[in-house]
Amino acid sequence: MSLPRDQVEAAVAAAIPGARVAATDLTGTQDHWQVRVVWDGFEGMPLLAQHRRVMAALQPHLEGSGSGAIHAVQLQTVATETT
Amino acid sequence: MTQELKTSLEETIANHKVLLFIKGTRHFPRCGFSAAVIDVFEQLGAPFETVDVLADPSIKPALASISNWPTTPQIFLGGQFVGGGDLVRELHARGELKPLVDAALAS
Repeated sequence: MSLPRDQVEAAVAAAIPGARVAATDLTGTQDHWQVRVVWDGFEGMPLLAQHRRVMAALQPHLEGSGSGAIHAVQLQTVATETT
Repeated sequence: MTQELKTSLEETIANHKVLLFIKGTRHFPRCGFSAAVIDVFEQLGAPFETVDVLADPSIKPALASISNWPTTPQIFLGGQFVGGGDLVRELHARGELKPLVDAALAS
Protein backbone atom coordinates (compact mmCIF):
# COMPACT_ATOMS: atom_id res chain seq x y z
CA MET A 1 0.00 0.00 0.00
CA SER A 2 1.17 3.49 -0.75
CA LEU A 3 -0.02 7.03 -1.36
CA PRO A 4 1.67 9.47 -3.75
CA ARG A 5 3.26 12.60 -2.33
CA ASP A 6 0.77 15.01 -3.89
CA GLN A 7 -2.12 13.12 -2.30
CA VAL A 8 -0.47 13.11 1.12
CA GLU A 9 0.10 16.86 0.89
CA ALA A 10 -3.38 17.49 -0.52
CA ALA A 11 -5.04 15.58 2.32
CA VAL A 12 -3.40 17.81 4.93
CA ALA A 13 -3.75 21.03 2.94
CA ALA A 14 -7.47 20.40 2.47
CA ALA A 15 -7.97 19.87 6.20
CA ILE A 16 -5.89 22.89 7.23
CA PRO A 17 -6.63 25.73 4.80
CA GLY A 18 -3.73 28.13 4.49
CA ALA A 19 -1.13 25.62 5.68
CA ARG A 20 2.01 24.93 3.70
CA VAL A 21 2.60 21.19 3.56
CA ALA A 22 5.71 19.33 2.49
CA ALA A 23 5.83 15.54 2.51
CA THR A 24 9.07 13.59 2.30
CA ASP A 25 9.19 9.91 1.39
CA LEU A 26 11.35 8.35 4.12
CA THR A 27 11.79 4.94 2.55
CA GLY A 28 11.20 5.35 -1.17
CA THR A 29 8.10 3.19 -0.86
CA GLN A 30 5.51 5.99 -0.56
CA ASP A 31 4.11 4.55 2.65
CA HIS A 32 6.48 6.07 5.25
CA TRP A 33 6.00 9.83 5.13
CA GLN A 34 7.53 12.71 6.96
CA VAL A 35 5.00 15.52 6.90
CA ARG A 36 6.04 19.08 7.66
CA VAL A 37 3.24 21.59 8.13
CA VAL A 38 3.76 25.33 8.47
CA TRP A 39 0.63 27.17 9.51
CA ASP A 40 0.02 30.45 11.37
CA GLY A 41 -2.87 28.81 13.21
CA PHE A 42 -0.43 26.63 15.18
CA GLU A 43 0.72 29.74 17.05
CA GLY A 44 -0.13 29.31 20.71
CA MET A 45 -1.62 25.86 20.12
CA PRO A 46 -0.28 23.04 22.32
CA LEU A 47 2.00 20.66 20.45
CA LEU A 48 -0.35 17.72 20.97
CA ALA A 49 -3.24 19.70 19.49
CA GLN A 50 -1.04 20.61 16.51
CA HIS A 51 -0.15 16.97 15.94
CA ARG A 52 -3.75 15.86 16.40
CA ARG A 53 -4.86 18.36 13.76
CA VAL A 54 -2.44 16.94 11.19
CA MET A 55 -3.00 13.32 12.20
CA ALA A 56 -6.77 13.75 11.81
CA ALA A 57 -6.22 14.75 8.19
CA LEU A 58 -4.10 11.66 7.54
CA GLN A 59 -6.20 9.22 9.56
CA PRO A 60 -8.35 8.05 6.60
CA HIS A 61 -5.17 6.81 4.91
CA LEU A 62 -3.46 5.19 7.89
CA GLU A 63 -2.95 1.56 8.68
CA GLY A 64 -5.30 0.35 11.37
CA SER A 65 -7.63 3.34 11.42
CA GLY A 66 -8.00 3.94 7.68
CA SER A 67 -7.28 2.51 4.25
CA GLY A 68 -3.77 1.41 5.16
CA ALA A 69 -2.15 3.35 2.32
CA ILE A 70 0.23 4.95 4.82
CA HIS A 71 2.19 2.74 7.20
CA ALA A 72 4.02 5.40 9.21
CA VAL A 73 4.11 9.16 9.55
CA GLN A 74 6.61 11.46 11.14
CA LEU A 75 5.11 14.84 12.01
CA GLN A 76 6.68 18.24 12.18
CA THR A 77 4.48 21.24 12.87
CA VAL A 78 5.72 24.81 12.73
CA ALA A 79 3.80 28.01 13.46
CA THR A 80 6.06 30.33 11.55
CA GLU A 81 9.03 29.73 9.32
CA THR A 82 12.19 30.83 11.09
CA THR A 83 14.77 29.74 8.55
CA MET B 1 -12.10 -4.82 20.56
CA THR B 2 -13.18 -6.13 23.93
CA GLN B 3 -14.25 -3.87 26.73
CA GLU B 4 -12.20 -6.01 29.12
CA LEU B 5 -9.01 -5.30 27.22
CA LYS B 6 -9.73 -1.57 27.12
CA THR B 7 -10.39 -1.57 30.86
CA SER B 8 -7.23 -3.55 31.46
CA LEU B 9 -5.18 -1.08 29.40
CA GLU B 10 -6.74 1.86 31.26
CA GLU B 11 -5.69 0.25 34.54
CA THR B 12 -2.17 -0.32 33.23
CA ILE B 13 -1.99 3.33 32.17
CA ALA B 14 -3.28 4.55 35.53
CA ASN B 15 -0.84 2.36 37.44
CA HIS B 16 2.35 3.41 35.66
CA LYS B 17 3.81 6.87 35.92
CA VAL B 18 5.90 6.59 32.77
CA LEU B 19 4.49 4.18 30.23
CA LEU B 20 5.42 3.67 26.59
CA PHE B 21 3.34 1.67 24.15
CA ILE B 22 5.81 0.46 21.54
CA LYS B 23 6.37 -2.19 18.92
CA GLY B 24 8.64 -4.82 20.44
CA THR B 25 10.36 -4.51 23.77
CA ARG B 26 12.69 -2.11 25.49
CA HIS B 27 15.73 -4.13 24.48
CA PHE B 28 14.36 -5.42 21.18
CA PRO B 29 12.23 -2.67 19.63
CA ARG B 30 10.75 -3.74 16.32
CA CYS B 31 10.27 -0.29 14.82
CA GLY B 32 12.64 2.62 14.37
CA PHE B 33 10.18 5.11 15.88
CA SER B 34 9.77 2.95 18.97
CA ALA B 35 13.54 2.60 19.26
CA ALA B 36 13.93 6.38 19.06
CA VAL B 37 11.47 6.94 21.91
CA ILE B 38 13.16 4.33 24.09
CA ASP B 39 16.43 6.11 23.41
CA VAL B 40 14.97 9.39 24.66
CA PHE B 41 13.79 7.84 27.92
CA GLU B 42 17.08 5.99 28.37
CA GLN B 43 18.81 9.37 28.05
CA LEU B 44 16.55 10.83 30.72
CA GLY B 45 17.53 8.00 33.02
CA ALA B 46 14.04 7.83 34.48
CA PRO B 47 12.33 4.53 35.26
CA PHE B 48 9.78 3.56 32.63
CA GLU B 49 7.67 0.61 31.57
CA THR B 50 6.76 -0.54 28.09
CA VAL B 51 3.86 -2.43 26.57
CA ASP B 52 4.39 -4.31 23.30
CA VAL B 53 1.41 -3.55 21.04
CA LEU B 54 2.46 -6.44 18.80
CA ALA B 55 1.91 -8.93 21.62
CA ASP B 56 -1.81 -9.07 20.77
CA PRO B 57 -3.48 -7.69 17.62
CA SER B 58 -6.36 -6.30 19.68
CA ILE B 59 -4.14 -3.97 21.71
CA LYS B 60 -3.68 -1.34 18.99
CA PRO B 61 -7.39 -0.66 18.35
CA ALA B 62 -8.14 -0.70 22.09
CA LEU B 63 -5.30 1.74 22.77
CA ALA B 64 -6.38 4.01 19.91
CA SER B 65 -9.85 4.17 21.43
CA ILE B 66 -8.33 5.44 24.70
CA SER B 67 -5.83 7.95 23.35
CA ASN B 68 -7.62 8.91 20.13
CA TRP B 69 -4.22 8.53 18.48
CA PRO B 70 -3.79 6.10 15.58
CA THR B 71 -0.09 5.25 15.56
CA THR B 72 2.65 3.71 17.71
CA PRO B 73 4.59 4.69 19.79
CA GLN B 74 2.36 6.36 22.37
CA ILE B 75 3.61 7.93 25.57
CA PHE B 76 1.65 8.26 28.81
CA LEU B 77 2.91 10.26 31.78
CA GLY B 78 1.03 10.18 35.07
CA GLY B 79 -1.83 8.36 33.36
CA GLN B 80 -2.25 11.02 30.68
CA PHE B 81 -1.59 10.64 26.97
CA VAL B 82 1.24 13.03 26.13
CA GLY B 83 1.68 12.28 22.44
CA GLY B 84 3.36 10.18 19.81
CA GLY B 85 7.03 9.68 19.10
CA ASP B 86 7.72 12.88 17.17
CA LEU B 87 6.12 15.02 19.82
CA VAL B 88 8.08 13.42 22.65
CA ARG B 89 11.36 13.73 20.77
CA GLU B 90 10.59 17.38 20.10
CA LEU B 91 9.76 18.00 23.77
CA HIS B 92 13.04 16.32 24.67
CA ALA B 93 14.98 18.47 22.21
CA ARG B 94 13.43 21.59 23.79
CA GLY B 95 14.27 20.36 27.30
CA GLU B 96 10.56 20.23 28.16
CA LEU B 97 10.23 16.47 28.55
CA LYS B 98 12.28 15.99 31.71
CA PRO B 99 10.11 18.33 33.83
CA LEU B 100 7.00 16.45 32.67
CA VAL B 101 8.57 13.11 33.51
CA ASP B 102 9.80 14.36 36.88
CA ALA B 103 6.32 15.69 37.68
CA ALA B 104 4.75 12.36 36.70
CA LEU B 105 7.23 10.43 38.86
CA ALA B 106 6.54 12.73 41.82
CA SER B 107 2.76 12.37 41.48
